[in-house]
Amino acid sequence: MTSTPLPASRADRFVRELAELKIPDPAAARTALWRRLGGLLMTAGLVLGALAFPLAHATDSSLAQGDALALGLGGVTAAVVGGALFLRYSLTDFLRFWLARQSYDLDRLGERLSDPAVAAKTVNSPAPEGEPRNGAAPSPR
Amino acid sequence: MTVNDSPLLELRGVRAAYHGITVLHGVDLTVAAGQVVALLGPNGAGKTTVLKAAAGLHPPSAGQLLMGGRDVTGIRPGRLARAGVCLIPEGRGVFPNLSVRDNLLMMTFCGRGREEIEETAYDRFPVLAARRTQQAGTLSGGEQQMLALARGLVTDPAVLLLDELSMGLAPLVVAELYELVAEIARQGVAVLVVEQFAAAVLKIADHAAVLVRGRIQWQGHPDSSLQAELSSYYLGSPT
Repeated sequence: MTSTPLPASRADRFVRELAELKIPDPAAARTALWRRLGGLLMTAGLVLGALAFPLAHATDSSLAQGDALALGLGGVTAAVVGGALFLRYSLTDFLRFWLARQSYDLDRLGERLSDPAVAAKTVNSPAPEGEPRNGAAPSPR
Repeated sequence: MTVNDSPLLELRGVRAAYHGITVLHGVDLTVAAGQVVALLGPNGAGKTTVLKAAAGLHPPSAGQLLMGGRDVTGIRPGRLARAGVCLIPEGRGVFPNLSVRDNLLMMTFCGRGREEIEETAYDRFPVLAARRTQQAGTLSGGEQQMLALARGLVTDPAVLLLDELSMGLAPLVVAELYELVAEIARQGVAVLVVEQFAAAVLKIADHAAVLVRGRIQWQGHPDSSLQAELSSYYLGSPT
């Protein structure tokens, strides 16, 4: 059994940090909504653009052709905006992990380059059998 | 207790669902600073979902998640992690192709320096120091679990969530790990342990709850009568 807890400074700090935290409305569903909206706009825009072409060709009336042109331009705009929204919200999660990994790798590279003594020591120290030097990933066995 | 005497972690009427299928039907659970709470129950009871809800990974469909008295329902898990909530998932959650040292250094996101992280981890788990260049995937099960614990501890957690710590480990190793968990709790960390291997965790738990089909069926101070009753919860009939 664990004994009764001591006054926990970490716990106090945790509570204080949480109290100061600005908590927005739950936005997990909002991201999905924007992504879906982007996909929908992109698809609708492409359909409108494609639809405008036969509409413009099906008539000799310049007024009707003007309407079809406006429809087509609207469709292209919707497709571009929708595509941008879709990319923004679908790639965010992926890029977040990629950025974290990049920053970790750069950090390690910086550590090696800035401290040659450590690097030399690591290189010269005998690695245990079957283990890589410099923390590098070993070749597959 | 804490500055405002609120439990560090509190689930209040938490309901959760996967694709419209409700798996938690109003779970109430509190964990105070320095307390070890064991959440027991058979397979598929929803224990892991409780942990996910507590870590912010699975937003509840109803109910509240409170931390230090503050309602943090729906907050992003990253923000909870930065504040001090640490989940050690089932299956250890280490990077098998990275060395022990690299696994630890991945935790620099918490703002602590490399040396500090290594020192903290190796002080508590000397066996990891001897294996710092070894790939995590080549460690024994117990050592991998130690590495997972070390990765959590170096973030200086205030709330520690452990999922099936004993999975695939020998009883002696499990006992050793739970002694470490008790030691961590004594430092003021609120610990919620999800476990099927009840005997080991009940030795260190201050409070236990039994979850069956998404509902807390029993909770209170763990004593010998609970051990006997557990079989009826797990198997449907007492031994």
